Amino acid sequence: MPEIDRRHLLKAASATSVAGLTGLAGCLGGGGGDADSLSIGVVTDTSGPYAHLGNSVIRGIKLGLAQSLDADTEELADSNTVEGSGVTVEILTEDSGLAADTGRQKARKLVQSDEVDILQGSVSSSVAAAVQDVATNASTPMFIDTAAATSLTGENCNKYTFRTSQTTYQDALAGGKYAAENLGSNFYFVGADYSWGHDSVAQWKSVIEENGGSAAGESFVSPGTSNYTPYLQKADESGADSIVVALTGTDGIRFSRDLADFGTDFDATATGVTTVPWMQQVGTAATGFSAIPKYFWPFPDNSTNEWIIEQYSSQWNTVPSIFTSGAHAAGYAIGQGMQSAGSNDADPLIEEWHGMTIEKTARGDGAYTIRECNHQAEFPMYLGHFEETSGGSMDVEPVLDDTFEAQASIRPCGETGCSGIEL
Amino acid sequence: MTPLSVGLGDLATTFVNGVSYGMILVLVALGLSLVFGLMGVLNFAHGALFMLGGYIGLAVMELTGGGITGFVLALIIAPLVVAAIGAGLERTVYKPLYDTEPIYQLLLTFGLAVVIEEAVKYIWGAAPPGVPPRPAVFDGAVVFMGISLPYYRVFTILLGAAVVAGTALFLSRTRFGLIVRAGVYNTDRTATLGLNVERAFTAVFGLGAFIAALGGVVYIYRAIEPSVGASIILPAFIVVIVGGLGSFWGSVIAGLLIGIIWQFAAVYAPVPAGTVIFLVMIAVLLLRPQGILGEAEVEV
Repeated sequence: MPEIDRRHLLKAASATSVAGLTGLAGCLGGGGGDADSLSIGVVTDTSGPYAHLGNSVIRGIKLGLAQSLDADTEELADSNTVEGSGVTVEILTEDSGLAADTGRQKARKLVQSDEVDILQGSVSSSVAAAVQDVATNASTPMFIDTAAATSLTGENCNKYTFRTSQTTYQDALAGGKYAAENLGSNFYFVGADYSWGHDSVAQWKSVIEENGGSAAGESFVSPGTSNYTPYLQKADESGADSIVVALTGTDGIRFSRDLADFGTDFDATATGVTTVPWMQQVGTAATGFSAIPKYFWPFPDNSTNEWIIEQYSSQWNTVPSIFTSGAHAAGYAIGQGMQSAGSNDADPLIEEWHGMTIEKTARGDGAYTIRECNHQAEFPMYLGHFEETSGGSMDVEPVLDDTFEAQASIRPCGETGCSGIEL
Repeated sequence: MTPLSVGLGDLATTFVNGVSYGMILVLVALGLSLVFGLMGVLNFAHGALFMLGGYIGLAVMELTGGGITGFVLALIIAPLVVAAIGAGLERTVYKPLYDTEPIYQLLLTFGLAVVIEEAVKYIWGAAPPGVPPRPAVFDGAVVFMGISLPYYRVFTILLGAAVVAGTALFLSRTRFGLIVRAGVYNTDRTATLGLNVERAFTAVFGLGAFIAALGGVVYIYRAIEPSVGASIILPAFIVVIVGGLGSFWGSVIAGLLIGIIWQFAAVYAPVPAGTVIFLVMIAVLLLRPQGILGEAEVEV
């Protein structure tokens, strides 16, 4: 392989926004693709409060790749190289520190210095948008595995961007519908006071109202708020019978404790709040939450999910996170696409992923389909709640209530804001 | 219920919840105020000691099998361990900086906070740790005249009050407290009289760390993770500023006042509650720049 081939030169040039060169990519690129090696640059959060999510995503990608390439999984915990079916995949990880600027720099470094074939990320939607920007300018495919902002595969959709994790709208369509039908009739909304919280509340509210529920009021709370009793008091005074919560991290933990102590009359549902570390920290306070539209490891009943749980337990001595399902699907899609395309070049890979049904996923065989209209994966959505348990290492366990069909849990192509994707 | 029917019961509920929130602020701010009042050191590492107390408390609870026994042991052992660490830091790291510019102290204590947080991440990991179930004695609430206050909040209020009273008595009624206060008034003269002022300062720094760690253990059942110290230090500083830099009783009053005002604002005011603590600070600094009980020394 020459030291600098045309493809990599073009990537580097366009990533630094040298005007004009990007347009030539279509003329000069292509050809010379390598069928036996691939590198993936992952920009995610591996140090901050959401490090458990970032780390679990890296594990999920490795598992998906290993399964699709039929690779040996024994060294998976310690190695960032997955080898199988004659293909060697190298995973390079970079920490975004949850900052968009850092994410952008790291993505540029991965594309320019490390010459990765695929970018992947990120926990925060603003970091994901920055990585998406770099990926698109460099004509490098990108998989989004955590970030949930609808715009990434909505207004900002393009042929290079694929997402296997769920959007805030998929959460709202499944969770909001289930909540309106099963939880209550009059809802109070508590959201984090930044774009994700506002988007989530607006989407849940519209879905709940479409399904016959009503909105009693709403509060937006600064991140880091240490006392949620005022909002429970306002919800109580509003006459609401249920609460929808869109908070993350320790805010979600503190809210859940206050809810358990004060708001025992409310049924609560949430987006963002419910993660595995949250369950381990709030314990029985988790039982106040239901209609949760997230993947929890006991929900799916299929051999791939069992294999993932087994691998997680033996390699990392823990259970999969709520983002493992999407990260595994991305890893599997990359391996599957690489084998079908017989190349690590962007264009043939993109053609494979465009409309791809992913063969093995944590939600079942062929459960994920990457839509041609906006490159967002559609998949069945789980709705669950938490129950007290004894004997295990945790005080509560997630229990599945219902599964919604993939198409019913995603906005129709015409409503996503994506103006279509031309290959 | 319509807004018009907001009665005395709702106001009382808001007030009591505000007091319980304020007491958490007092627990965090007290050690900070004490160390500033006696040594003039703005200790940015105070939040990290608070967080460290929570993690050591968790370790104690895990070793002792959790439950109420584990929690009580954590409330005793973690503050003692953190106090020892604090005293050790005072001897080795803080002491050479007493007579230097405040900027050196800021840099040093900020750096220490980073070191402690990274050490905790290295030992216990960056993700929020698992927490043993909260002891069952804290389940439920005191119901009094229509106001419901959960037991854990009652416990926090009582513990905060006990810490305030204990510290006040220590400073005003013990011989050691007398040396401390004399040392603050005039370090050189007190030393000339043959009293060991240095040892008193070390002990007070240890006491500040002890109270911080106690708050950290209480906070295990709010939410604990490595960055919790960094997020708690800002409101703590505001409480100390509003109370009057270094004023012991000023911090107590300011903590409770901010807790109550915040609670009322969050329920009734149309502004985002996150801004309230800053509005209170601005108002106090405009009307009374030295703070509520502002004098740069301990008032006991």
